Amino acid sequence: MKQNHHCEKIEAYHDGELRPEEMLEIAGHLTTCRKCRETLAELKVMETMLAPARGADASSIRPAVMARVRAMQSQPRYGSFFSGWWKAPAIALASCAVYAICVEMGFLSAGSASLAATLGSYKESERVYSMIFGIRRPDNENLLAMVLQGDNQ
Amino acid sequence: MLFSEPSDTELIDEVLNGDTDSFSGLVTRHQQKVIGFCLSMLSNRQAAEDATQEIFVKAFTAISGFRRDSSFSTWLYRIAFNHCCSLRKKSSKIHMESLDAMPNQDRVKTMVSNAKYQSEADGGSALASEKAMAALPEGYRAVMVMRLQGVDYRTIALSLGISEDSVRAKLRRARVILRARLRHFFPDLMSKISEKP
Repeated sequence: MKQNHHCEKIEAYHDGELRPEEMLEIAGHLTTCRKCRETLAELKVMETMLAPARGADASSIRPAVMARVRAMQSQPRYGSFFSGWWKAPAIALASCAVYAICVEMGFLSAGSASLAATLGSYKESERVYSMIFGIRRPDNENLLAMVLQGDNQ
Repeated sequence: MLFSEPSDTELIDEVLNGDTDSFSGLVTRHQQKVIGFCLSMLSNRQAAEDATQEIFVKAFTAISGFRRDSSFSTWLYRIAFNHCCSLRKKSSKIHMESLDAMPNQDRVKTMVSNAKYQSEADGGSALASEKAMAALPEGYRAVMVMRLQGVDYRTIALSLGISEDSVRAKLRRARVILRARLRHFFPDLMSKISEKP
Protein backbone atom coordinates (compact mmCIF):
# COMPACT_ATOMS: atom_id res chain seq x y z
CA MET A 1 0.00 0.00 0.00
CA LYS A 2 2.76 2.39 0.97
CA GLN A 3 4.63 1.30 -2.17
CA ASN A 4 1.72 2.52 -4.35
CA HIS A 5 1.53 5.71 -2.35
CA HIS A 6 5.17 6.42 -3.17
CA CYS A 7 4.74 5.50 -6.83
CA GLU A 8 1.98 8.10 -7.19
CA LYS A 9 4.34 10.82 -6.06
CA ILE A 10 7.03 10.25 -8.68
CA GLU A 11 5.80 13.08 -10.93
CA ALA A 12 5.67 15.52 -8.04
CA TYR A 13 9.16 14.32 -7.01
CA HIS A 14 10.41 14.92 -10.54
CA ASP A 15 8.86 18.40 -10.54
CA GLY A 16 10.36 19.22 -7.13
CA GLU A 17 6.92 19.85 -5.67
CA LEU A 18 7.25 17.73 -2.51
CA ARG A 19 8.26 18.75 0.99
CA PRO A 20 11.95 18.06 1.83
CA GLU A 21 11.09 15.03 4.03
CA GLU A 22 8.90 13.57 1.27
CA MET A 23 11.69 14.10 -1.26
CA LEU A 24 14.00 12.04 0.96
CA GLU A 25 11.34 9.35 1.35
CA ILE A 26 10.86 9.03 -2.41
CA ALA A 27 14.62 9.07 -3.02
CA GLY A 28 14.85 6.08 -0.67
CA HIS A 29 11.93 4.36 -2.40
CA LEU A 30 13.62 4.78 -5.80
CA THR A 31 16.54 2.61 -4.71
CA THR A 32 14.18 -0.34 -4.30
CA CYS A 33 11.48 0.20 -6.95
CA ARG A 34 12.51 -0.47 -10.55
CA LYS A 35 9.14 0.65 -11.97
CA CYS A 36 9.48 4.08 -10.37
CA ARG A 37 13.05 4.41 -11.64
CA GLU A 38 11.80 3.72 -15.14
CA THR A 39 8.99 6.23 -14.77
CA LEU A 40 11.45 8.85 -13.57
CA ALA A 41 13.85 8.13 -16.43
CA GLU A 42 10.97 8.39 -18.90
CA LEU A 43 9.92 11.74 -17.44
CA LYS A 44 13.48 13.04 -17.81
CA VAL A 45 13.72 11.89 -21.43
CA MET A 46 10.33 13.42 -22.21
CA GLU A 47 11.41 16.70 -20.68
CA THR A 48 14.56 16.79 -22.81
CA MET A 49 12.67 15.93 -25.98
CA LEU A 50 9.97 18.50 -25.37
CA ALA A 51 12.33 21.31 -24.36
CA PRO A 52 10.39 24.43 -25.31
CA ALA A 53 11.39 27.28 -27.59
CA ARG A 54 13.57 25.09 -29.78
CA GLY A 55 14.32 27.28 -32.76
CA ALA A 56 12.46 30.28 -31.35
CA ASP A 57 14.39 33.43 -32.12
CA ALA A 58 13.80 36.08 -29.50
CA SER A 59 16.46 38.50 -30.76
CA SER A 60 14.03 40.59 -32.79
CA ILE A 61 11.42 40.89 -30.04
CA ARG A 62 12.95 43.61 -27.85
CA PRO A 63 13.74 46.15 -30.61
CA ALA A 64 10.33 45.64 -32.21
CA VAL A 65 8.45 45.97 -28.90
CA MET A 66 10.41 49.06 -27.85
CA ALA A 67 9.83 50.71 -31.24
CA ARG A 68 6.09 50.18 -30.84
CA VAL A 69 6.14 51.36 -27.23
CA ARG A 70 8.03 54.55 -28.18
CA ALA A 71 5.63 55.17 -31.06
CA MET A 72 2.73 54.87 -28.61
CA GLN A 73 4.43 57.29 -26.23
CA SER A 74 5.06 59.87 -28.96
CA GLN A 75 1.37 59.99 -29.89
CA PRO A 76 -0.42 62.99 -28.35
CA ARG A 77 -2.17 62.06 -25.12
CA TYR A 78 -5.39 63.91 -25.91
CA GLY A 79 -5.95 61.43 -28.76
CA SER A 80 -7.44 58.86 -26.45
CA PHE A 81 -9.71 61.43 -24.78
CA PHE A 82 -11.24 62.64 -28.04
CA SER A 83 -11.04 59.41 -29.99
CA GLY A 84 -14.60 58.38 -29.12
CA TRP A 85 -16.14 61.86 -28.72
CA TRP A 86 -18.77 61.26 -31.42
CA LYS A 87 -20.19 58.12 -29.81
CA ALA A 88 -22.34 59.72 -27.07
CA PRO A 89 -24.12 62.29 -29.31
CA ALA A 90 -24.60 59.65 -32.02
CA ILE A 91 -26.25 57.26 -29.55
CA ALA A 92 -28.42 60.08 -28.17
CA LEU A 93 -29.58 61.10 -31.67
CA ALA A 94 -30.30 57.51 -32.65
CA SER A 95 -32.32 56.99 -29.45
CA CYS A 96 -34.37 60.14 -30.16
CA ALA A 97 -35.04 58.98 -33.71
CA VAL A 98 -36.15 55.53 -32.55
CA TYR A 99 -38.42 57.07 -29.90
CA ALA A 100 -40.00 59.47 -32.37
CA ILE A 101 -40.60 56.65 -34.87
CA CYS A 102 -42.20 54.51 -32.15
CA VAL A 103 -44.52 57.38 -31.16
CA GLU A 104 -45.35 58.06 -34.80
CA MET A 105 -46.11 54.40 -35.44
CA GLY A 106 -48.29 54.24 -32.35
CA PHE A 107 -46.18 51.77 -30.39
CA LEU A 108 -45.56 54.32 -27.64
CA SER A 109 -47.52 57.26 -26.30
CA ALA A 110 -45.84 60.67 -26.44
CA GLY A 111 -44.35 61.31 -23.04
CA SER A 112 -43.98 65.07 -23.16
CA ALA A 113 -45.83 68.10 -24.37
CA SER A 114 -42.82 69.35 -26.34
CA LEU A 115 -42.63 66.13 -28.35
CA ALA A 116 -46.33 66.33 -29.05
CA ALA A 117 -45.83 69.94 -30.17
CA THR A 118 -42.99 68.91 -32.45
CA LEU A 119 -45.07 66.20 -34.02
CA GLY A 120 -47.95 68.65 -34.27
CA SER A 121 -45.77 71.13 -36.17
CA TYR A 122 -44.75 68.30 -38.45
CA LYS A 123 -48.43 67.81 -39.21
CA GLU A 124 -48.70 71.51 -40.05
CA SER A 125 -45.97 71.13 -42.63
CA GLU A 126 -47.84 68.12 -44.01
CA ARG A 127 -50.91 70.29 -44.46
CA VAL A 128 -48.89 72.97 -46.33
CA TYR A 129 -47.36 70.25 -48.48
CA SER A 130 -50.77 68.92 -49.45
CA MET A 131 -52.00 72.48 -50.16
CA ILE A 132 -49.10 73.22 -52.52
CA PHE A 133 -48.89 69.87 -54.33
CA GLY A 134 -52.52 68.96 -54.07
CA ILE A 135 -51.70 65.53 -52.74
CA ARG A 136 -53.85 64.28 -49.94
CA ARG A 137 -51.60 62.48 -47.54
CA PRO A 138 -53.14 60.37 -44.75
CA ASP A 139 -54.30 62.69 -42.04
CA ASN A 140 -52.25 61.73 -39.01
CA GLU A 141 -53.41 64.57 -36.80
CA ASN A 142 -56.39 62.62 -35.60
CA LEU A 143 -54.17 59.61 -35.03
CA LEU A 144 -51.78 61.76 -32.97
CA ALA A 145 -54.64 63.06 -30.89
CA MET A 146 -55.73 59.48 -30.23
CA VAL A 147 -52.19 58.49 -29.31
CA LEU A 148 -51.96 61.38 -26.84
CA GLN A 149 -55.21 60.22 -25.32
CA GLY A 150 -53.59 56.87 -24.68
CA ASP A 151 -55.12 54.84 -27.47
CA ASN A 152 -52.05 52.94 -28.70
CA GLN A 153 -54.06 51.02 -31.28
CA MET B 1 31.86 47.67 -6.67
CA LEU B 2 28.94 45.27 -6.90
CA PHE B 3 26.31 45.90 -9.53
CA SER B 4 23.00 44.15 -9.04
CA GLU B 5 20.37 44.02 -11.73
CA PRO B 6 17.14 45.80 -10.84
CA SER B 7 14.26 43.53 -9.91
CA ASP B 8 11.03 43.35 -11.92
CA THR B 9 9.29 45.49 -9.30
CA GLU B 10 11.94 48.21 -9.54
CA LEU B 11 11.74 48.21 -13.34
CA ILE B 12 7.93 48.43 -13.18
CA ASP B 13 8.20 51.40 -10.81
CA GLU B 14 10.57 53.13 -13.22
CA VAL B 15 8.20 52.51 -16.14
CA LEU B 16 5.31 53.90 -14.10
CA ASN B 17 7.43 56.97 -13.32
CA GLY B 18 7.72 57.63 -17.04
CA ASP B 19 11.00 55.89 -17.88
CA THR B 20 9.82 53.91 -20.91
CA ASP B 21 13.31 52.49 -21.57
CA SER B 22 13.12 50.48 -18.36
CA PHE B 23 10.49 48.35 -20.01
CA SER B 24 13.20 47.02 -22.30
CA GLY B 25 14.77 45.37 -19.22
CA LEU B 26 11.53 43.52 -18.55
CA VAL B 27 11.28 42.44 -22.19
CA THR B 28 14.86 41.16 -22.23
CA ARG B 29 14.29 39.20 -19.05
CA HIS B 30 11.05 37.50 -20.07
CA GLN B 31 11.07 37.35 -23.89
CA GLN B 32 12.56 33.86 -24.17
CA LYS B 33 9.93 32.33 -21.92
CA VAL B 34 7.07 34.15 -23.60
CA ILE B 35 8.16 33.22 -27.13
CA GLY B 36 8.69 29.60 -26.03
CA PHE B 37 5.21 29.54 -24.56
CA CYS B 38 3.68 31.09 -27.70
CA LEU B 39 5.58 28.72 -29.96
CA SER B 40 4.25 25.70 -28.11
CA MET B 41 0.73 27.11 -28.03
CA LEU B 42 0.57 28.23 -31.67
CA SER B 43 2.95 25.72 -33.33
CA ASN B 44 4.12 28.38 -35.76
CA ARG B 45 7.31 30.42 -35.43
CA GLN B 46 6.17 33.57 -37.22
CA ALA B 47 2.84 33.60 -35.37
CA ALA B 48 4.71 33.06 -32.09
CA GLU B 49 7.03 36.02 -32.72
CA ASP B 50 4.13 38.30 -33.65
CA ALA B 51 2.14 37.14 -30.63
CA THR B 52 5.11 37.76 -28.31
CA GLN B 53 5.41 41.34 -29.53
CA GLU B 54 1.70 41.84 -29.09
CA ILE B 55 1.78 40.40 -25.56
CA PHE B 56 4.56 42.76 -24.45
CA VAL B 57 2.79 45.77 -25.98
CA LYS B 58 -0.40 44.72 -24.16
CA ALA B 59 1.60 44.38 -20.94
CA PHE B 60 3.06 47.86 -21.38
CA THR B 61 -0.37 49.36 -22.02
CA ALA B 62 -1.86 47.67 -18.96
CA ILE B 63 1.13 47.97 -16.63
CA SER B 64 -0.55 50.62 -14.49
CA GLY B 65 -3.26 48.02 -13.71
CA PHE B 66 -0.73 45.42 -12.52
CA ARG B 67 -1.78 44.85 -8.92
CA ARG B 68 1.41 43.16 -7.66
CA ASP B 69 -0.51 40.42 -5.84
CA SER B 70 1.45 38.03 -8.07
CA SER B 71 4.81 38.23 -9.81
CA PHE B 72 5.24 40.05 -13.12
CA SER B 73 5.95 36.77 -14.92
CA THR B 74 2.70 35.22 -13.61
CA TRP B 75 0.80 38.24 -14.90
CA LEU B 76 2.64 38.05 -18.23
CA TYR B 77 1.84 34.34 -18.61
CA ARG B 78 -1.84 35.15 -18.01
CA ILE B 79 -1.78 37.74 -20.81
CA ALA B 80 0.10 35.30 -23.05
CA PHE B 81 -2.36 32.46 -22.39
CA ASN B 82 -5.41 34.63 -23.09
CA HIS B 83 -3.81 36.08 -26.21
CA CYS B 84 -2.82 32.67 -27.61
CA CYS B 85 -6.28 31.23 -26.88
CA SER B 86 -7.99 34.10 -28.68
CA LEU B 87 -5.61 33.76 -31.64
CA ARG B 88 -6.33 30.03 -31.88
CA LYS B 89 -10.08 30.65 -31.68
CA LYS B 90 -9.87 33.32 -34.37
CA SER B 91 -7.82 31.19 -36.74
CA SER B 92 -10.05 28.14 -36.33
CA LYS B 93 -13.12 30.33 -36.91
CA ILE B 94 -11.64 31.78 -40.12
CA HIS B 95 -10.70 28.28 -41.28
CA MET B 96 -14.20 26.94 -40.58
CA GLU B 97 -15.89 29.93 -42.25
CA SER B 98 -13.80 29.55 -45.39
CA LEU B 99 -14.63 25.84 -45.48
CA ASP B 100 -18.33 26.52 -44.87
CA ALA B 101 -18.43 28.93 -47.79
CA MET B 102 -17.20 26.23 -50.19
CA PRO B 103 -19.39 23.75 -52.01
CA ASN B 104 -19.22 20.24 -50.55
CA GLN B 105 -16.87 18.72 -53.15
CA ASP B 106 -14.38 21.61 -52.94
CA ARG B 107 -14.45 21.41 -49.15
CA VAL B 108 -13.45 17.74 -49.16
CA LYS B 109 -10.69 18.43 -51.74
CA THR B 110 -9.30 21.31 -49.68
CA MET B 111 -9.29 19.26 -46.50
CA VAL B 112 -7.50 16.37 -48.20
CA SER B 113 -4.87 18.64 -49.78
CA ASN B 114 -4.32 20.45 -46.46
CA ALA B 115 -3.74 17.12 -44.75
CA LYS B 116 -1.26 16.08 -47.46
CA TYR B 117 0.57 19.40 -47.22
CA GLN B 118 0.68 19.11 -43.45
CA SER B 119 2.17 15.62 -43.54
CA GLU B 120 4.78 16.69 -46.14
CA ALA B 121 5.73 19.73 -44.10
CA ASP B 122 5.93 17.64 -40.94
CA GLY B 123 8.11 15.07 -42.64
CA GLY B 124 10.46 17.82 -43.78
CA SER B 125 10.92 20.19 -40.92
CA ALA B 126 8.56 19.97 -37.96
CA LEU B 127 9.89 18.05 -35.01
CA ALA B 128 8.05 15.02 -33.76
CA SER B 129 8.06 16.47 -30.27
CA GLU B 130 6.24 19.56 -31.54
CA LYS B 131 3.69 17.31 -33.18
CA ALA B 132 3.25 15.41 -29.94
CA MET B 133 2.73 18.71 -28.12
CA ALA B 134 0.27 19.88 -30.75
CA ALA B 135 -1.91 16.86 -29.97
CA LEU B 136 -2.67 18.25 -26.50
CA PRO B 137 -5.78 20.33 -25.80
CA GLU B 138 -4.80 23.97 -25.19
CA GLY B 139 -5.40 23.92 -21.42
CA TYR B 140 -3.15 20.86 -20.99
CA ARG B 141 -0.60 22.29 -23.39
CA ALA B 142 -0.32 25.55 -21.46
CA VAL B 143 0.23 23.67 -18.18
CA MET B 144 2.80 21.37 -19.77
CA VAL B 145 4.77 24.17 -21.45
CA MET B 146 4.94 26.19 -18.25
CA ARG B 147 6.11 23.13 -16.34
CA LEU B 148 8.79 22.48 -18.98
CA GLN B 149 9.92 26.07 -18.49
CA GLY B 150 10.43 25.30 -14.82
CA VAL B 151 7.40 27.15 -13.49
CA ASP B 152 6.08 25.76 -10.19
CA TYR B 153 2.54 24.43 -9.72
CA ARG B 154 1.39 27.45 -7.72
CA THR B 155 2.48 29.96 -10.34
CA ILE B 156 0.92 27.88 -13.12
CA ALA B 157 -2.34 27.79 -11.15
CA LEU B 158 -2.26 31.57 -10.60
CA SER B 159 -1.41 32.31 -14.23
CA LEU B 160 -4.14 30.17 -15.70
CA GLY B 161 -6.73 30.89 -13.02
CA ILE B 162 -7.13 27.25 -11.94
CA SER B 163 -6.44 25.34 -8.72
CA GLU B 164 -3.17 23.56 -7.93
CA ASP B 165 -5.05 20.23 -7.91
CA SER B 166 -6.27 20.98 -11.39
CA VAL B 167 -2.68 21.73 -12.48
CA ARG B 168 -1.56 18.36 -11.06
CA ALA B 169 -4.41 16.52 -12.83
CA LYS B 170 -3.82 18.28 -16.14
CA LEU B 171 -0.09 17.60 -15.98
CA ARG B 172 -0.70 13.91 -15.28
CA ARG B 173 -3.12 13.56 -18.21
CA ALA B 174 -0.89 15.60 -20.52
CA ARG B 175 2.04 13.34 -19.71
CA VAL B 176 -0.02 10.23 -20.42
CA ILE B 177 -0.97 11.61 -23.84
CA LEU B 178 2.60 12.76 -24.58
CA ARG B 179 4.09 9.43 -23.52
CA ALA B 180 1.79 7.62 -25.94
CA ARG B 181 2.57 10.06 -28.75
CA LEU B 182 6.33 9.90 -28.19
CA ARG B 183 6.20 6.10 -28.06
CA HIS B 184 4.55 6.29 -31.45
CA PHE B 185 7.23 8.59 -32.91
CA PHE B 186 10.26 7.12 -31.09
CA PRO B 187 9.44 3.47 -30.32
CA ASP B 188 13.11 2.47 -29.94
CA LEU B 189 14.08 5.23 -27.55
CA MET B 190 11.11 4.80 -25.26
CA SER B 191 11.45 1.00 -25.13
CA LYS B 192 15.16 1.33 -24.23
CA ILE B 193 14.20 3.29 -21.14
CA SER B 194 11.88 0.49 -20.03
CA GLU B 195 14.54 -2.17 -20.55
CA LYS B 196 17.18 -0.45 -18.40
CA PRO B 197 18.03 -2.59 -15.34
